[in-house]
Amino acid sequence: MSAELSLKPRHLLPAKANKRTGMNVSVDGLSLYYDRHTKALDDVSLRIKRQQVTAFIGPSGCGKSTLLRCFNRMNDQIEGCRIEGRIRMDKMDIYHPRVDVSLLRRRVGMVFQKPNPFPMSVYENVAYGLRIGGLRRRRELDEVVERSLRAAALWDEVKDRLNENALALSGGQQQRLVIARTIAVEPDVLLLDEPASSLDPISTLKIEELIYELKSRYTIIIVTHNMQQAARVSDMTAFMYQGRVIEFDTADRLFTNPKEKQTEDYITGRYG
Amino acid sequence: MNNSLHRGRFAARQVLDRCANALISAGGVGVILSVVMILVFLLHEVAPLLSAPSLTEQGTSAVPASDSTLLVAEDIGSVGLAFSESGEARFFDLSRDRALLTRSLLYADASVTAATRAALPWGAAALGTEAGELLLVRPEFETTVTQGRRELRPSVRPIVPLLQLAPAGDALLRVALTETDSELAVAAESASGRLYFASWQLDENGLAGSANRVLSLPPGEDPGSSGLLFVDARHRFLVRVTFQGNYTVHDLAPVNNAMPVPRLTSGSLFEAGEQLTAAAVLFGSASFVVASDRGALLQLSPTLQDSGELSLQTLRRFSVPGKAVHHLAADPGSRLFAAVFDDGAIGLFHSTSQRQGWATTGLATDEITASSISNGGGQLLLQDAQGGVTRFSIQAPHADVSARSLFAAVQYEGYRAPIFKWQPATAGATYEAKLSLSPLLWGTLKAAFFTMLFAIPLALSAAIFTGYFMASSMRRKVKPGIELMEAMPTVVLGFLAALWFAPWLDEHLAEALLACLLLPVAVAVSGVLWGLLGNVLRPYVVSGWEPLLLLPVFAGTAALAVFAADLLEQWYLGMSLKDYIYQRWGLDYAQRNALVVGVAMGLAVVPTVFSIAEDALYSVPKQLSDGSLALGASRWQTLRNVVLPTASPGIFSALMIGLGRAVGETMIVVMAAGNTPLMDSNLFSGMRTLSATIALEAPEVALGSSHYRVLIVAALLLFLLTFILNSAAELLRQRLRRRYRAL
Ligand SMILES: Nc1ncnc2c1ncn2[C@@H]1O[C@H](COP(=O)(O)OP(=O)(O)OP(=O)(O)O)[C@@H](O)[C@H]1O
Ligand SMILES: [Mg+2]
Repeated sequence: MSAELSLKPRHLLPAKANKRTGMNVSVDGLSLYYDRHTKALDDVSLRIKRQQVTAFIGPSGCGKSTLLRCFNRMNDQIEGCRIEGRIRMDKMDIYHPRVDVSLLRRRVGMVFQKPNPFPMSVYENVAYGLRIGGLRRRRELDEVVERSLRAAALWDEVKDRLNENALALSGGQQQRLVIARTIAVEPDVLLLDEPASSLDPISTLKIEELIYELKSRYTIIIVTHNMQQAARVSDMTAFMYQGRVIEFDTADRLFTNPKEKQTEDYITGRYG
Repeated sequence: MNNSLHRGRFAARQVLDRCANALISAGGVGVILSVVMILVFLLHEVAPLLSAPSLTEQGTSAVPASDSTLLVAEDIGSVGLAFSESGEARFFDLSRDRALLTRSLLYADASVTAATRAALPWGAAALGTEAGELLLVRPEFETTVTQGRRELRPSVRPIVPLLQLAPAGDALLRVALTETDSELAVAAESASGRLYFASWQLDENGLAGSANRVLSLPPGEDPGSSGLLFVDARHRFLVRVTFQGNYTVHDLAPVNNAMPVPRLTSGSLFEAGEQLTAAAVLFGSASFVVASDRGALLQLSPTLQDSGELSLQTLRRFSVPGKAVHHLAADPGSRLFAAVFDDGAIGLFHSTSQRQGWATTGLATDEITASSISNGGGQLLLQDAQGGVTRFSIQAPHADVSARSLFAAVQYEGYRAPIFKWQPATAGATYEAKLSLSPLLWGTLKAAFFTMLFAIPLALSAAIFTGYFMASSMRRKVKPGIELMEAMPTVVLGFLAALWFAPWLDEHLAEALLACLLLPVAVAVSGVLWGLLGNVLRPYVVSGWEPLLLLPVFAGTAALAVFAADLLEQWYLGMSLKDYIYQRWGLDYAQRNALVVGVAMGLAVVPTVFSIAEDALYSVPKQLSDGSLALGASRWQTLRNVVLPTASPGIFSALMIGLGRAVGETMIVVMAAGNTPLMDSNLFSGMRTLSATIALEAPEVALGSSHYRVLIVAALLLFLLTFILNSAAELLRQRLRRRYRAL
């Protein structure tokens, strides 16, 4: 079941990129404890489909980021964090003991809320994941870097400054660079944690367009505080509250005709 | 709100702000000022070393002995003594052209044909007569203070009664005299060319009884025309140099069965046609200088070579402008000598440091008949044929120190080749001070090198583990624990290192070295084992405290090292490791050595380096390492590619600050380094550092002496070294930080 993740490192060959279609993700009875007393997720179950954008919305502290971090097991870093339940990606249990976390993270890319480019050149930032994966040939690297930057709608802006330090880019450019860096390793699932929260409207728009373009090849999960954004970019939307998924439906239905009172209160701005 | 109250509060706050501002500025400026003042003080104390030896003419006075063969002047040069050819000793007041006392030392119508004095302050004088007799006298100046006036009472005391050295009528044409605390030796050449040698034991009054030894050697070439005779202070060699520059060195070691004939060697100093023009024995009677009419100026010393052969070693050639030297006068109290050149120029030379000082005079050098430097070294006297004595005052307080003598290898008397040596003083008054800072600088760097060799791997791996891998609950306990080590006084560390660790290591060298080799291997192996067995063991270990599992591994490795060392020494080498190292590589093992210092000082430096480097690693933004991990990098890859580069400014400054500490650290090296100023890179030999030298010698040094000023140079060097290290650290850190500034 987990054989593919643990035993067969897939090489990130450019040829395969076009065949990528994402993975279906299913969450079953997932609970997460940061320590004995803090239960950050409470019995979460979701079915997330490939080639779709799924958005998590909810008030601050409701556990959106926590849930997102479960998909690439970033919570493993946190001391004392404990998980119950199961997450499967195309039937692979990602918490199976034999899963190679590095390989999992290669297939489940993540973009953080605050842009976090490495203090290296633009080029090296994008090539980082490939180099880590053992790709050394300069020509292939060049190719992937260019393709990823194009995909992230950044190529035209940085093609003349590939060797400049990435920290010299603007915040919006940095965030798109981070996206390029993430998609350079050709993941199946793309996790975006409030990717546009620190950006201006134009950069936000670019990122939204980007999400729309990438949709066909990935499973995209996005956390956002911006209801309009969720409505614009997502196919499915989950409303979370205090560690639980209150309502999970298509974006159209959830925003126009919520079934739950809490959802309605939230999207009409009565709290949060 | 009440308006006036508001303003009042505001005013009070402004006053407070200003006070705080002023206080902080005063503090900052104060710190800078005191550092600058220290620097200024150090430079001020060093400055006198920079001034070259100099001469100033003081005037000419008439001397009542135009036929004098030998001049001696009292220490501040106000009273002179001239020995005349008729055997009179004439004291005279130099500044007032006044004869003070005249005493006849010999019988009527005696004629002095040779005269010399020992190269010592207040040394004895020897006169050789036409009749072949030798007279040894000691000029003395007794100072009495009567009614506030200083008065000198000169006298001449015979040391031995007049001695018939050569057969009656065989005139003594040249004499040499060597004096030490307890002995006196004379060499003389008679008109017939025979060489005579005689030595005496001196009693506490400086008087001698009958001669210990009297030797008579057969004539050499050009009998009776030697330009210089020389007997060294140990009465081992007799050197004769002719005016053509041909020399013979006689071995004066007592002739016995093993060595049936007195040995000698001969050779030539000059090219054909070149003439010896002047010669002088230098202070301490270990070497002498000769000059030629072609401008050669050589310092020579007779030695025994390793093979046992006699030789006349050229210690150095002074670089002079190729002019003929007319006269040489050696300072009886230091290795300074004056050379009077044909064109009237006078050069002052110091043999050890090769410092030079020049003065041009209008003297007609052909006229000069005798030259002398006063006993205190303060005056140069030149006598002309008319009986005038021209005086020059000599300012050369630190002529024995030069950049060359401080940093380059120096050819000292009694050594076969130039060496780097620090040995500022010994009991002997005529000792040639060896003030080379190179071995101290070397020792400092060597100590720092081995310290860092020990400290860097330890401190950095501890910092990486604590700052990047360790569970934060454990980090909270470990970090202050290591930092607490910094509070350990280095004097205690040094004490433990010298009195406990060094002797222990001496006994257990093989065990210790093997443990050093085995420990990393053992740790690596247990890492692999943990990877294999971790899942089995994990339930039995409190999460985050896994490193404690290494304790038994350490213990086991130590036991293994003891066992393996035994095997190695007993079965494989067949001897102790120390002996093996000595036999295989010729490396001596000193108990207090670089290894001991490296470990002890390493322990002192580790907490500093650890603390700063750990802070740097720990403060690398989490989002950066998360970003790397999220791309599928392993923890190690993240560490290497993201965390270490980002923390590099801090790690770098940690290393520099640690290095600065290792360079300046004093107590540990004073106690555990052995303090031998060696210049090798042997791990098993000791060293003497700049800081230890200052600490050990500063309390006893004579204020204002060359030794004192050289210690200040050492302090300045140390100051510069740490200053450069810290500045370089700061500059590089700022550069690296600018690279990572946006984080
Ligand atoms: N590392 C952690 N250790 C302990 N508790 C945590 C940790 N991270 C988050 N929490 C807690 O878990 C809960 C959920 O946090 P989470 O970051 O998932 O919220 P969020 O929905 O992403 O909020 P926001 O919209 O503000 O980002 C919060 O109560 C938070 O305090
Ligand atoms: Mg969040």
